[in-house]
Order: sequence, then structure tokens, then C-alpha cells
Amino acid sequence: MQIIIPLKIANYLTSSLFICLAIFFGLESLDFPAGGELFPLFLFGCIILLSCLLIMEAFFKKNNHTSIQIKIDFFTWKPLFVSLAVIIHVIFIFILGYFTSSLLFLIGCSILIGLRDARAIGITAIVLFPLMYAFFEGFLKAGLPKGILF
Amino acid sequence: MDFIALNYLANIFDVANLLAMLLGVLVGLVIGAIPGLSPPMAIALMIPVSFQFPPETALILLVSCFAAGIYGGSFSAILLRAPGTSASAASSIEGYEMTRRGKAIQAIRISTFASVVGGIISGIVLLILAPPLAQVALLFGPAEYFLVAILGLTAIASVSFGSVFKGLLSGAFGLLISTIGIDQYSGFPRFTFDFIGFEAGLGILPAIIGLFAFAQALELSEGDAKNTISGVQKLSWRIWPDLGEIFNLRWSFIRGWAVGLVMGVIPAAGGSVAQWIAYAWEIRRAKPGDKFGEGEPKGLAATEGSNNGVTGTSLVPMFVLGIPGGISAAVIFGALMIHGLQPGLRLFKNSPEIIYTIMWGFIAANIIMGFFAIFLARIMAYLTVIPRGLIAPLIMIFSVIGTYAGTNNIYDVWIMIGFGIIGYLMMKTNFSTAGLLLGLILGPIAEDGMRDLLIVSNNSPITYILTRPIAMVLVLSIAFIMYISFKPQPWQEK
Repeated sequence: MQIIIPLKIANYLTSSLFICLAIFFGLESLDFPAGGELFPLFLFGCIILLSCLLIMEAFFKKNNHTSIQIKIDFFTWKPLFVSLAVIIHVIFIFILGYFTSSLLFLIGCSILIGLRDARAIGITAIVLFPLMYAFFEGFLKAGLPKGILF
Repeated sequence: MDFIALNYLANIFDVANLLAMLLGVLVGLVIGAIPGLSPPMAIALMIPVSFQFPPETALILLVSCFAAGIYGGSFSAILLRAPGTSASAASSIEGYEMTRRGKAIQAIRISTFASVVGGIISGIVLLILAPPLAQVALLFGPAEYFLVAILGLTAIASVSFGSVFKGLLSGAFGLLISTIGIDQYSGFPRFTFDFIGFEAGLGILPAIIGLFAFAQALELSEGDAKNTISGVQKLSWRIWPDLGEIFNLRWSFIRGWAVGLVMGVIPAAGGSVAQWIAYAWEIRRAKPGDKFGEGEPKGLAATEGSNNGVTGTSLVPMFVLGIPGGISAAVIFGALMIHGLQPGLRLFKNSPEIIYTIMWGFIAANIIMGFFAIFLARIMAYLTVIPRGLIAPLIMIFSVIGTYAGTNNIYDVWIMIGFGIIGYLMMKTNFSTAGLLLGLILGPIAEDGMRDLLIVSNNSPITYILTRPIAMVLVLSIAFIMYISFKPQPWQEK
């Protein structure tokens, strides 16, 4: 399945999103004391103005036939799954320890992205992790989380 | 040359500074050579490492990374037609055609000479121009500082590919999120939404790493993981020097360097724009027999000269006024602030040992870059054949460790991931991540300027600005940049 959004429509959508964001921030800022609302309100006006100009540009622009194609399949949503994997990785840093969690992330994320080359992943891990440990713990003394493992 | 600057020449021979140059050049060359990975990303990843060093050593590391990153981008552009940086895009036209015709060695040689000499000249111009221009900053009041922030955003927006309005919107959004955190005037929390990580405001470091490294990794995670970034699996070539040929191309080099030097000083330009101007100029100077588009060495000499000629001079407006001349300079600007250094005359007056050492370090890094290139060129080119499925997780691992090691604050890691996702979505919709970052950096300067301006002008800022000559020059500069931004340029047709 594939969704095709003309660039013109995409620009309308993003402009509307910016207008909504500006209104939200603008309303929030009304309660700020001692002049704290001045700059956010100035930006509120700027963002609304620029969003309207972007809408007008999209409306009046000739030869605006470009479109954004969104395929509804695993490949399109891979960055979303990868982002979730990073969030899980960060949570597990404090449970398992930085290096164990990172090793699991390297293996898991490579497989998730589609690389099934165990040798390449293994060599990378063997070369990289001792270097990372020497650099961040030995040289920088970064004090990375240890967790229950390492 | 400024006499004071010469006093600090010896500082670059300090062991820590030399090691910083070597590390910066190595990282810049490696990351710059990988298509899809950019010098701003290399600089962003090096910022946490730089925390361990004194400011001058830290900044030497970053400017070395910058110079080498731009040069490294040319390798994959020439060998694989896969520019490592946007500043090398024009080089891929003639460079790759030369490679296809069995002249890869000659192309790399031309690129190395043009980049190393261009970088050195650019560094010398930086050293000469920046100190006297810093005197101008003394004449700045609230109105000027507010307008400088707007000028900086306009400049970055104008080099955003796609719509200028999108670039400006990105900058305005960056300014808006810069207000998150405790208001320094009233102590009132603004837009924190009871999230403890927002109390101290959004840090520059997580923003830089998120927008430039993490977002790039998300993009790399798309598509076939087994594919290399460049789409090529094997490389075969050698390097031999040939100075006679370089002499024959001298005017192309000079034109390229000249374009780079000038475009660097103008905030709004940068290597991405300079290379197309240099290429267009070279085509206009073509003689019968020149074969542009079919591997013409003159075209490559000009584009390679221009993109490294920009590097040093793009730091001039950044050091003097806080207006970065390009995206990499914007990231270095962020690092400068993180290390507690404020651009302007005070930087030259109060910390001459820091600023002049950085400038000398930049020049020396370009020389080191030339030596490194001889030994590492082949290895660097092989980095372009690492599968995307490995590169993307590695960048994410380094993004997380870089953010955490820099601040020891897990909230910053979450904020970095948030910026990464926003950056990825911005890249997909042609919004400017550099604009967002610059807005975040310039936000406090712009807000202070605006509040002070309202006070000194008795709430009549426009009338007040009309009475200030420098403020009027800045207003005209903003108008000029906007005019240039909306006017179609011949090189954009290419």
C-alpha cells in the first residue's frame, strides 16, 4: 500500500502544525510574569506569519508537482522501530550496564535494520568495544553506568 | 599580520594541541569520507570528547575536524560520485568523470592540493581579518545584538535547500524552544510542563548530537542494510604526485580559492554555495577544448579550492559577531558557548591565548591534513563500503555515549533522542536542522537584546533602530540576504 501526498498538501499540513504549536505556546506564555511572555509572543507572531507565507507560497507556486510517497510497509517504519530500540537500549543501560546494553543494541539493531552478517557484527564488536572502554573509561573517566553486568 | 597573533604561534607545538589536531583531522577525514555523514556530525560527536581539554585545545580539535571533514567529503565524491558532504557535490561532477576515465589518481591529487592550500590561505585570512573586525562589536548595543541574531537566522535560512520560509520557520521554532526553562529575569519556569529535564533549559550539546548525528543514523537505517552507503563494493586506485599539472591549473585554483574566501566571510554562503559559484565561474571562463561535464580538471580544481577556501573565513563572522558562516561553523559556535567563550571583542581582549591558538591550530591542521591524506587516502575510501546496517547502530551508540559522557545527565540523552527524531522528520520535510540549532543557540542573545531594546527605546524599538547606524546596516543586510534568497541563482539550475 502506498500513500502519495503532493508537496503542496504536505506544506499545508506542516504549516498548520506550526500554527497549532505557535498558538499553544502563545497561550501558555500569557501567564508568564515580569515580561517573560514578550519574546515567546513575538515568536508566536513570527511563526504564524511565516506559516501563512509558506501556505501562500505552496498555493501560488507553479510547477509544484513534487510529492511525498509514503509506503505502508516495514521499510518505511524502520526508523520508528529503530527509535524504539534506542529507547529500550537507554533504559537497559541502567539495568544491564552500558557496555552490555550497547552490545545487545548493536546486534539487535543491525538485525532489525536487515543486516544478518554475523561475522561483520562480531568483528565490529570485538574491535570497537575494547577501544570504547579504553577511551571513555580509561582516558575520559566518563563513569558510564555499570548495572548488574558491565 | 597582527603582532599579538605571532606571540601565540608556539602554542600549537604543545603536545595536547598537536594530539587534538591529529585526532580532529583523523575523525574529520574518516567521517567526511563516508557519504551521508557530514562534518557537522563529526564535530558534534567530538564535542563530548572536547570537554576533557582546555578551551583552546578543545576548539583546535573541532576546527581540525571541520577542515578535514570538508576535504574528506571529496574522496567519495571523486571516487564514487557519492559526495561525503554537500560542499563536495559539485566536485562529484568532474571528479567522478575523471575517475571513470581512469584519472582517479590525478583527481585526488588535484583535490588534495586545492584543499590543503585553500585551507591554509583561508586560515591566514581568518587570522588577519578577525581581530580588527572584532573592534566593530564594541559599538553594539541591545538593538544590534537583537538584529545580529535575526541576521544569523536569516543567513542560515537562505542556504536551506528548498523553501526559505521553511528555513526561517525552523529558526523561529529554535528561538521558541530556547525559551524553555527557568526565565533568568523572573525565575519563573517557562514551558517546562513539569518535566524535570526541561528545568535547566534545552542544552546545546544534546541538540547538536540529536539533530546532526542521531537524525542521520535514523535516515541511514532506511533501505537495504546490506548496501554500502555509496552503493559500491570495491575500489582500486593509487596516488602519485604531479606538481607540473597543478601548475597548469593554477588560475582555476586561484579562482576557486578566491570564491571560497569571499563566500566564507559572507554569513549565508558556506562551501555548499561557494563550490557552485566557483564551478559556474570556471565554466564561463572555458576555452575551446575544455570538456566540462566530461572530467575537466579545471572544474575540479575550482570546486575543491572553493570548498576548503571557505573553511577558515566562515569562522570570521562567528568569532567576531556570533554569526556562523555555515552549518559547521554554527555547530562550532555551539561548542564555543559550551566551553564558556563568548564571541566578540572580549574574546580577543580577554582570552587572546585561546583565540589565536585556535586560529594557528586551524592553519596547522590543514598542513597535517595533507600529510594524513597521503597515508590514509586508500583506507578512507574503503570506509565508504561499510554496510549501512552497521554504520547506523554505531552512530546511535556514539550519540548516546557522547551525550551521557558530556553531561552525566540521563535527561539530556532523552532530549537528544527527541531532537534526533525531530531532526529526522525535518530532513524528510525539507526543514532546516541547522536553522533550528542556530535558533536555539541565538535565542538567549535575541531575547536579552529584545528586552533591553524595549527598555532603552521606551517601547519604541523601530524609532530607536532608525537612529542607530549599525542597526540600520544590519537591517539592510537582512533585507539584502532575503532578496538574494528569493532570487533564483544560476548555479541552482545545475
